[in-house]
Amino acid sequence: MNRMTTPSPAMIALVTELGDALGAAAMPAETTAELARVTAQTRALFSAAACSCALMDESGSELRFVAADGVGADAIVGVTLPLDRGLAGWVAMSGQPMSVSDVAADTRFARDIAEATEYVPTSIIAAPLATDDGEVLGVIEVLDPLLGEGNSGRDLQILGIIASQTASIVRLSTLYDGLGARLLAAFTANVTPEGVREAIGSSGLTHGDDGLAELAVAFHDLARSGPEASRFAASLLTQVAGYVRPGR
Amino acid sequence: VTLPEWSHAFAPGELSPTSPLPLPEPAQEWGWSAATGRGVKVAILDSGVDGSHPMVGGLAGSVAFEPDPDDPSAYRAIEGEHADLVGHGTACAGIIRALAPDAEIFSVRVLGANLKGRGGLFLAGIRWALDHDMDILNMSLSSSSEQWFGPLHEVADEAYFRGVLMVCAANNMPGPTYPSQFASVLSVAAREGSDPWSLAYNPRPPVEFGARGIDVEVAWNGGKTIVASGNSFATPHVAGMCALIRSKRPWLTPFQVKSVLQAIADNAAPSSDGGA
Repeated sequence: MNRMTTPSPAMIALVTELGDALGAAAMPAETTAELARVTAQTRALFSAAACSCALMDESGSELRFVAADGVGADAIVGVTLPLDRGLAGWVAMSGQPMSVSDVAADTRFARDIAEATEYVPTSIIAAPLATDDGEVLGVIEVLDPLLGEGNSGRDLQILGIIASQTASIVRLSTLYDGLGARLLAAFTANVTPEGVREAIGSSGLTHGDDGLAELAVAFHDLARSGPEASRFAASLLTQVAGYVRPGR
Repeated sequence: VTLPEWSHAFAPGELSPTSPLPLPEPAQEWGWSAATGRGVKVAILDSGVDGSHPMVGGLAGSVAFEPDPDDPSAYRAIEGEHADLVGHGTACAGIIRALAPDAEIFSVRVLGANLKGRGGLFLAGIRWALDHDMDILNMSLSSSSEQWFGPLHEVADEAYFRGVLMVCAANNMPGPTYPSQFASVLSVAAREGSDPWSLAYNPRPPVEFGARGIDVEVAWNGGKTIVASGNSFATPHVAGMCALIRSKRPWLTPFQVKSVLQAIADNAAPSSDGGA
């Protein structure tokens, strides 16, 4: 029988603290819904025919369109392209935003999109979704934006800022998505407190999350303090992991 | 969030005059008049270069770096001709060729089919360029992850002390970008205008130089041209200018080349210290 000890006030306080720390995990809307909003707003901002957002796959070799708005949006979502093909791939590889104003001169650019959407744009602006530490998570593209008189590069700049903000959304969503599982792994592993800190560090929770790391160590200590406390910690963390990963 | 440096700094109303060292006037005359880039080796670290494109007019050499999990270094180098995977490296080569027609252009392909280990490939490409006595590296790429800060910084310093000019595209997004933000390299952002020789020195680094990079007709895959914009197209303009300067005065060190560029820049003003 899975009997638990009555939680002590210290344990209750710990659970409360854990709840506070992870509460934000339930806050970010699902990434794709968030990105759908970003593409819709970006398309409107540029008065463009379409805007789409592609994310890098786990292997780092493919871009997958996860959200789009405008012409051909339904067709492009779900399409994957190899990294070494076309403008989006170069933008992801180089980490540099870029715009092309007469794509039609080289249909290679638009072929991926055209195959899926039967829409061939004449101009594209694309920027990498790069995190603050330089990791490229994907690419955002605007097709046929209505550009102002005389190209000053400002559109590239604006899309760059949007891309950077979008990268934060993607990073946070991904982070929280895997948080429960990572914590569980950290706590149940037979490692030293330093090992737990390291595990938390490798989860990407490195900046301003010292409290969370300390919490992890506290739970680790709890788990090590006896079989019942260990079961309690494991059970609690399993619940938390389930809580922060809705739909799984 | 800090605003991007590049578009701001080089806007007509924003760019303030700078006081370069007093080179004989006109500074272009001293810096690169009659130079063709002859004898200067320029490596383009990018997606590859199509040497047969009419705007490129041939390559002096090519090497491609690819991830290789089986190799201790995690990459392998493949010498010999290769394709441009996208067209961007070809665009850069075309720009450099237009400015420095006799420069020896090498394609060092470091962008490939996988994003993993990107920083390692950049580093390997730079290493190759140093080991093969390149004079100038054109790097229209940046934004590596923090783990590469140290290694890239080290190799950028090595390049600097060996007199190799690393010309890097600035990133127009907040956050650190390597190696473009290192003082040992020449970082470049795009500025408006249709003059390929236009050049500005930004008195508010880290982005030091502005060159043509908006609506540039560039070479692309398939022997075609496209009209494109980005810091990545401004970079080869400065690399081309560096090739000219180096072919005329090979003894100039990186800091001296920066000084010559500053003197040539459109916003160069007479020295304010009255010491002329």
